[in-house]
Amino acid sequence: MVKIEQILSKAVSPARYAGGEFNVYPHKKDAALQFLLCFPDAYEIGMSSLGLKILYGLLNERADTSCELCFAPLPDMGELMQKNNIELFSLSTRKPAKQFDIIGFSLSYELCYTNIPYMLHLARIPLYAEKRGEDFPILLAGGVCTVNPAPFAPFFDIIAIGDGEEVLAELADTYTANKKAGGSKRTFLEKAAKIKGIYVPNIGVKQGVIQRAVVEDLDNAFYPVKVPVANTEAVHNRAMLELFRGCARGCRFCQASFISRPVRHRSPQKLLTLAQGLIRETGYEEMSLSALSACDYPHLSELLQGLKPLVQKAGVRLSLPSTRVDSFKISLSDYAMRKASLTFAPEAGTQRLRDIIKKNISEEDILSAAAAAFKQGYTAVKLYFMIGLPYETEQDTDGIAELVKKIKSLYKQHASNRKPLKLSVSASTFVPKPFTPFQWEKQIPHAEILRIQAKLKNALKPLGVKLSAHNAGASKIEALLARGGQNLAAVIEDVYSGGGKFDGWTEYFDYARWQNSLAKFNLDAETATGEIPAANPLAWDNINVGITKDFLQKELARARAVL
Amino acid sequence: MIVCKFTKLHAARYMPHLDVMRTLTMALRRTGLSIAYSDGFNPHPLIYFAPPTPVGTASECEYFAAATPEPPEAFLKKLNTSLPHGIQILQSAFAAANPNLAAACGAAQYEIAFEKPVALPLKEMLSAKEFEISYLQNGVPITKQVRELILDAFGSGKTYRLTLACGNKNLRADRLIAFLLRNNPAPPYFTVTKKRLFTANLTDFDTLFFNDSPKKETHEKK
Repeated sequence: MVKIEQILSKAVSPARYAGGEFNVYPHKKDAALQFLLCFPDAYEIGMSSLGLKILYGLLNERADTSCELCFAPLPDMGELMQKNNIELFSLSTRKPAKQFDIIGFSLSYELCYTNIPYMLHLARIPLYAEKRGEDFPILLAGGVCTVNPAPFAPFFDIIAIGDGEEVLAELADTYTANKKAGGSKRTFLEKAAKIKGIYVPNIGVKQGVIQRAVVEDLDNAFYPVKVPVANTEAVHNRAMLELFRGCARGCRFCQASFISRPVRHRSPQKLLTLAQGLIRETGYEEMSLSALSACDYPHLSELLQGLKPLVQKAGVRLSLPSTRVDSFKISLSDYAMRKASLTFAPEAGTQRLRDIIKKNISEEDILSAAAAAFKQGYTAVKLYFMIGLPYETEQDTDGIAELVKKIKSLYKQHASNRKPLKLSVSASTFVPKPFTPFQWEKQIPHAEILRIQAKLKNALKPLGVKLSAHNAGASKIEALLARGGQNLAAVIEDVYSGGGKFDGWTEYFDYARWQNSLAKFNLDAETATGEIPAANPLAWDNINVGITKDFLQKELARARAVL
Repeated sequence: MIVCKFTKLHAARYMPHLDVMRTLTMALRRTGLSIAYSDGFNPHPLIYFAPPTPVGTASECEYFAAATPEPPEAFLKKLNTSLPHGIQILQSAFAAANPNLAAACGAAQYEIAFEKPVALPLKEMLSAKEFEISYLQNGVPITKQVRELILDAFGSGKTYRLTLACGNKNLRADRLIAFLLRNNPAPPYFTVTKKRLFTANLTDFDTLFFNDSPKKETHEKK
C-alpha cells in the first residue's frame, strides 16, 4: 500500500499536507471525543481563519476531547490520493477522517460548498446524512453560511447557527455524556436538537424556528493565543486580535452586520492581555486589530496607547483592516502602523446610491480622509466598490471613475513624497444575502455584470488605473447558493460529479458546469437570482438570527424612500 | 555573529526555504533573543543562510549565520525551545565576520534510502566522461550535462551516498536518482537526506565553523 509520505513529494506545495506546525496540540489518543475540524478550502486559506483557530483551541483545551485540523487537498493532491487509494486524512496524525467521532465543517463562503462532496468523497463517507448509519462519524456544519443551511442541510447531521464557542462546548459535553451512557448516534442527535443554536435536519425531530446562538460575554469567552502557525505562508500571515463582534452600521447589503448583532466589545484590558499572549506565543511580525469595522471600537485610542509599548518592544507591526473613511480620525502613524497602503470602501460611486445602501459616507469624508492620509505619507490607496446594487443607474457607475479622478488629483496636491500614487480599484458584484434588507432584491443578470465591468474598465483606463473585478459567473453562483433552498443539494452534488471543486478559485471555477447541472434539475441561475416577492416564503424562514422580517422590510422601504 | 547548524527533518522537510527563514525569524521573536535588524523602510533581521535544500529533501546539515550578541550555547538552547517539529539547532559557535555561507558552499553529501534493495549503475556513471540527465522542471523538460557535478557516489542495496555540487553549480540528488531509475517500470520509493555540507575544496562546514570532525549524525526517526 502506498503511504501518504510517498505521494507528498509529488504534490504541489506538500507543506500543506505534512503537519508538524508550531503550537499544534499534542494528540490525546484516549480522549472520548475525537474531533476533526475541516475547512473546505486550501490550507493557506483555512490556516488564516480566526473562527477555525478559536474552535481548535477551545476543543483541545478540554480534557475529554482531541481535535485535529483538515483542509481540502488541492486538485493535484486529490488526484494523487485517489490514484493511490489514500483517504482524506488529518493534518497532524494522518488518521483517516472516517475514524473520527465528529467531523465539523466551517462554512464561510458559498463557493466552497462543492468541496463538501469533494472532501467526503475522498474520505469515503456517504454525502447524504440519511445514508450514513451508526458507524460513520457525525457530520456537523458551522460558520457564517449556516444562517441559510438549506442548500447543504441534507448532507449534515447537525448544523450550528451563530457563535460557535458555547454551542460547541455544549455539543462536546452532550456527546461525551451520551457515549458514556452507551447512547446511540440517534440519541445524541435528539439531545443535541435541544441545544440553542443547533439544527438537526435529518432525523425528523420537530424543532420549530431555530434561534441563533450568541456569546454575550466576549471578555470571558475562549480566545486562543497559542494558535497553530502555518508551515507555509498563509494568506493572512499575522496574529489576529478580535476587538469586538457585530457592527452597528447596518449597511443594507451587509449580511455580516445583521447576523452578528448585538455589538459586543472586548475590554481594552482583556485585549492587552491577549495581545501580550499572541506576541509571546506566535512570533508573527504583524498583529491585526480585527472586527467588521475595527475603527468603530469605542476604546481604540486607549487600546492603541496600551499596545504601543508592547509592539515596539517586540518589533511587531500593527494593522487595522477594514478602515472606514469616516472613522479615520486618529493619527494612526503614531502607533507603529503600517503606512504603506490605505483602504477605503465607498462601495458606490454617488451619494444617492450610498444613501440607498446606507453607507453613511459623504464624498467630502472620502476626499478629506485621503488628503490627510497623503499628507501623512501614504502612497497607496485601495478603493472597494460594488456594482449591481439595487436601484443603481448609469450615473452611479460613472461616479466611480469620477471619484477615482478626484483622488488622483488630490495626491498631486498633497503628496509628501515623490513616489507615484499606487491606486487600485476593485469592484465586486452585489449579492443579495439572507437576513439583509436587500434579501428580496434581484442580482443583475450575468450579461449586465459583464457590461458594467467593461464600461468601468474603459473609464478607468485613461486614468492609468486597473480594475480588478470579480468573476461574473462566480457572483451569480454565490447569489444562487446564498439564497438557495434544499433543492440545490442535488445540484451541488452534480456539479462535483462533473468535476467541480474549489469554485472560489478563478482557475477552477466553471460557470458552464453550474449551468449544465442546474439545467438537469430544471433550474437556471438568472431566475433563481431574480427578485423575490415579499409575500413568498424564504428558504431560511426556519432560522431566527435575531432580526425580524418586519424590520428588514422597513429598512428596505427606507432605502426605496431615497429614490 | 554566530553560525548555527540545524536540521530539517520529518514534516519540516516539505517546508520551502522562505518559510524556514520565516519560521526561524518567528522563533527568535517568540524567544526574545536579540538580533540586529537591517536599516530601511522594511527592516528585516540579519540572518544569512546556506543555499536552500529542495522541498522534500530532508537535511541534517542546514546552516545559518545571525547577527546576535547572544552567547552561542545560550542561543542554541533557547531557540530549541520554540521550533516546529523537525527543525532543531544542533550546534552553534562564534564567527568573526559574516561567513557568507551561500558563497562558501561547494558540495553536499546525500544519503539515499530505498524501501527495497535496488541496483544503481554508479560505476558506469562515474567512469563516463559525460553524463546527461533529463527531468521536468515546472512541467518543462530539461536536459543537463552533470558529470562534473557528481563528485562521488557509492553504496548498495537500500542505502547509497552521493556527493554532488551544491550552491551556484548545483545538482539535485532526487533528480539524479529519478533519472538513474528511469527504466525501472516500478521505481522503488526513496528518501533523500542531506548529511554533510562542504566548501568547494571539500572542507566540511563543521570543521570550518565548529572545529569538528564530522561525527555527529542524527538519524531520522520513523
